[in-house]
Amino acid sequence: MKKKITLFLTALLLITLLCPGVSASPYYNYSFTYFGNEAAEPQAYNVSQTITGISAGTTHFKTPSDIHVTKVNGVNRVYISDTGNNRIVVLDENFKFVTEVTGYHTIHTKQEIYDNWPEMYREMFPEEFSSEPTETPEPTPTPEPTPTPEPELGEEDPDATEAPEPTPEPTPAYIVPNPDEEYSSFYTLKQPEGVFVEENGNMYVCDTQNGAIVYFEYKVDADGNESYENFRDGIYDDPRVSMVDKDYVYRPSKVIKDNSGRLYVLANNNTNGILQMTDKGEFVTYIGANKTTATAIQILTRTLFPWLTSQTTAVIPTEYNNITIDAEGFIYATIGTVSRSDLYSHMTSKGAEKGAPIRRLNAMGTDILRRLGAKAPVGDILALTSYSYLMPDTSKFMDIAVDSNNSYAVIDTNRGRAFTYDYDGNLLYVFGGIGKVEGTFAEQGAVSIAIVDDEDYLILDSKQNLINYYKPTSQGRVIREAVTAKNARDYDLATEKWEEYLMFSSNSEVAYNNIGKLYLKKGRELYLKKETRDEGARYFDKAMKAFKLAQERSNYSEAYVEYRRYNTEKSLPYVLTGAIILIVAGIVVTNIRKYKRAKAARLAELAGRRHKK
Amino acid sequence: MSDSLKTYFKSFTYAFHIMTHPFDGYWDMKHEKRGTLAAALTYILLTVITMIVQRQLTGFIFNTNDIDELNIIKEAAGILGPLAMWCISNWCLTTLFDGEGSFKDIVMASGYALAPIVYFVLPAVALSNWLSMDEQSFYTILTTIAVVWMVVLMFSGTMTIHQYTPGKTIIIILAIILGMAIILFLVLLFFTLLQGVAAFFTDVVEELLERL
Repeated sequence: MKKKITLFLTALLLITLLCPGVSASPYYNYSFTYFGNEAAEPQAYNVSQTITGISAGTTHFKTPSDIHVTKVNGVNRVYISDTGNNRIVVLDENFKFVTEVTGYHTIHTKQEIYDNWPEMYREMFPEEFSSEPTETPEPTPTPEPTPTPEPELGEEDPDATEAPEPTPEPTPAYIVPNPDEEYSSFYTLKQPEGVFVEENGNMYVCDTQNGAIVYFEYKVDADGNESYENFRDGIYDDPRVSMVDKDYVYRPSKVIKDNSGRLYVLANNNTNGILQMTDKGEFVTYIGANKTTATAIQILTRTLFPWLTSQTTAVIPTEYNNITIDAEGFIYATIGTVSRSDLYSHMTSKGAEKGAPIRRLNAMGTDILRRLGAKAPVGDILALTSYSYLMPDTSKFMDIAVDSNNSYAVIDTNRGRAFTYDYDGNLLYVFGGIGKVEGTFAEQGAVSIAIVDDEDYLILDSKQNLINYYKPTSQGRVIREAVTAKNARDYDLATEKWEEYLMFSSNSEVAYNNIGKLYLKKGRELYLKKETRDEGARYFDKAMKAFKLAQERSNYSEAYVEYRRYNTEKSLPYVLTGAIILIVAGIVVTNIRKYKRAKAARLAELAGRRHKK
Repeated sequence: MSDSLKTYFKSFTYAFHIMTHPFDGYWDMKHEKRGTLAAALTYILLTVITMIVQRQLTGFIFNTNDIDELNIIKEAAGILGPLAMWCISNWCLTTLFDGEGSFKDIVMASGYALAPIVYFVLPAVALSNWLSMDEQSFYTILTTIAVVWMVVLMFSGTMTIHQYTPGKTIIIILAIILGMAIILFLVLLFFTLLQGVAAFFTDVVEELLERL
């Protein structure tokens, strides 16, 4: 007996050792079924590398908040907005340090300095005042140090730039000598939260705490050293749009630029929508403002007890927390503060008006995101549908990355997961998680996602100060190839790829749905020609079966209508022939009966006559 | 064919007469003994079966149920529970308000009133397997007719067996629905209390077992 057990255990051990490639991932991939359950799916993305400041060849990152990837001159460049270190870090395609941007120069003429900062002017040019004491109307001819701590060069109070303080007018006519003489001063970045880079390498930085957006020029010198120098007029400060709220302080956090040169800016605590600006930083309009809706109880409270209004929660529109632009120039925006009930109603109604955490805005600010799946893309569905007393957090989206197929990955910071949807809003795969091992994030840590080479993802963890680099597994690649093939109108390849994916995950509803659509398309193509009509009908049948497995009712109906038409057309001759035969047979039978009856009657008559005789 | 079986079939097909002539039909059901309790209970059973068939066999396009998961007891309770509550609440209130019908009459009237469900929903289910999504209205109209007809029969049945005026019937039906809500509340309360008592005794026994 003991021997047997030993043998068995040894065999078990051997089997375990021999099993190849069973690598436990710290997270799992799943999809949601039509009936709202979680269904396991094969892992689509695995972490391939973790990048820290040290591994990149610079100091540690400190609460970085944005990551951006752009192909500059055919080479990938990664830009990290390293908020806590007040810098922008540029990494190359191998995630090694290239350069960093820590500040920018402003250039002002003497006249401008005098007009805006007279006290600083006096400190800069004391000799002008000592030599001409009569012309200065100051009570003290010599400039004395001001009691307030003077803003030093380089650490100027940015508010001074935005809001020229109402200068008391003690100087009726001081003529500035050499008014066009230029002086430059250096500003360090102050907690930059957003970075955007154009194809040519020029970079926009949201210098958040200084309240400005700075436009940097990309420069490569003869030795190939790269550097960034801000454009002289590339400092766009407060566009003065928030006149309603006097206390509002402009803190730009995210910026993007579209193909026609318009800037779209998100500012912290600004609930009016996305600021649209010209490429000169002049404010044009707000787009995509979120609507507010008061609940019945709120309205009732406000009407019945108006004096309580100040004590109730204010109804404030939700605020965008990130924006990205896709290849077609549409803006993808995410909202992280949608309430549970709004999110739930959006999930089922799929309406764009209220509660949508992901939006795709056109230039008018209208949401045109396609939500054709059974449920709208809201991240984790079970958090909304399961009524356990634990009430798991709903998904809180922080950033979005769009690839060339218009499928987008949104990062849910509550779960550290990236939910990836296709163009129609069907969930393709999920990767990432909360944890302490490679490939996972700290709670509320995952804040920014960027796509590399249209395939791999970089996700930034602002709590652990690192970047996880995800690459698709073979299964994930099959999905990607299928989606790409379909986008490129190579339907045969797409069908093949989705069928291949079904070998990995035989219950994938999204795979069946796609296959069904492809079969239907193929069937319609074949159905047009008379010689391939039967084959086309077979495809309709296959499409119906696929849609049934995908729980796709409207698509099933479309395939079914085609198939029913084929069957009707095919069986119509038989039905008609059968009907005619039946009618003819009926007529014949009744006639025969009539004839027989008549004959019998005649016979009876004859017999009767004979009887009478 | 034995005599009782013949009576049963006669009373079973009598549902068609009730459906087409509700007032006359219910009057004869009660006073001329043309309906039987057996036939009424058969219709209740058939309704349960119909609802299960509808849940499982409606065409894929119109069927949003998870047909892999079926609990017949749950489905049956979904029909029989409200029906029982209706009958009990009906009897409780009409007894107090000069209703002429006995509990048997009420059950019979309600049972026969369910006949349209059987005769309309089953064809609708069969038809739904042949319809596409654009033709949904054919399916919807059949099921709607069934429900509306049933409501009309319930109304006329209550009115005829208790010999009420139409106005009084409306009021009493509203009261019956309220009574159903109260019954539901009491049932829930009873079970919650029962659960509490059961939990108490389990705790006591467990405690004793720990000590012994």
